[in-house]
Amino acid sequence: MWLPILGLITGVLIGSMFTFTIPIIYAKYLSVSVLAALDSLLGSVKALLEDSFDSAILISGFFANMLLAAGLAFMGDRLGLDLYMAAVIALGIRLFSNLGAIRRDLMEMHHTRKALKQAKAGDASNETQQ
Amino acid sequence: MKHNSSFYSITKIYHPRHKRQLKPFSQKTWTVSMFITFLIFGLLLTVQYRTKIAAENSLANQKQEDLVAILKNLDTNKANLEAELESLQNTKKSLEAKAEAGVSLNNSLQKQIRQYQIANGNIDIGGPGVSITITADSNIMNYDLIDLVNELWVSGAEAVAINDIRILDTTTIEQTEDKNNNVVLTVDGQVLLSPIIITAIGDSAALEKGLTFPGGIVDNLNTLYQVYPQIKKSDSIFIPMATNIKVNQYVK
Repeated sequence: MWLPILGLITGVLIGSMFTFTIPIIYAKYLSVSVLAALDSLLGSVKALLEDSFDSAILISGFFANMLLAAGLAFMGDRLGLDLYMAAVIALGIRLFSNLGAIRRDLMEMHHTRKALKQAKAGDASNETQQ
Repeated sequence: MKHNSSFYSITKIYHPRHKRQLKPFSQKTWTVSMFITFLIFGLLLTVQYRTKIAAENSLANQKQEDLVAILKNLDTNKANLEAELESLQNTKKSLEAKAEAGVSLNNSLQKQIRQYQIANGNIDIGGPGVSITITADSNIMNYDLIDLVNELWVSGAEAVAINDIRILDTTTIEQTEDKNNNVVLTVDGQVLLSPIIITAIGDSAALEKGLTFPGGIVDNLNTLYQVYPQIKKSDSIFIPMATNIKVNQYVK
């Protein structure tokens, strides 16, 4: 259940062990890719809570989003437009919407547990009464 | 009213949103793919962070004051190093001069040593000069030999030997009688066997002239004693080193 969090911590540890840097010119592309990765991660958590999780979509979406974001930034550099802004805005919107959905799902699960407990207590009292 | 359809309400609430067709295989392996993606995300995060730190510390992103300070620092360093370089170069020059002086002193000392060695007879030497041959049947005495050697020194000989015995400043030329009461000549105690060959190194022409000028030593030997020494000039006279060097006892 907490395996994904463990994966995150492992990734951070591995990253801090190796002093591995990218040439500073590509730093901007990397940052947009990180944003896209975050968005696809939150989307996968949301899908997990809604039982619509699909590994293939997660993995393909993860890399495809990263590539698209970096590609937009790169094209924007070549064309002279700040195309990375489009990626940032779109990904930001999706991040907030995914986060909201996750919150609502968690709230519903919490409420349902409560209702279940109450219903169980109610049934028991019903049965005793009957 | 009792809510007795609790089971139905649970399922209704647990799957409220758009429920897609579940793919059983993908659903079961959610842990693996999520673990992988979170791991990669962690990696990306740290790499991005490090790159950003490096970009901030790179020269292009420094404030102007910092850059000016760095530049001043580098200039002072450069001036110091240049001064040090100059002083080191001066030291090198002075050391080179000293070394040269040392070498030339060494050379002059070597020359002096060689002079003394020649004078003392410590080494073999060769050079142009003359050789005087006196045949066995000549009746010469040690005085004649002494006169010949003296004449050679007067004419500028730099080294003289009789029968390859080096003539030094302590050499004696004497005359004794052997067992058969014959007169024999000795140099430093060594008996001279005939023919007696006197070799001398120096200016061949001057030596020859000094010996053979009319009224000179050879002339006298010819006319007074019927002794005819043969004088030969040569370009390569070899005189070996002395084997009769004496050790000083009284000189302090």
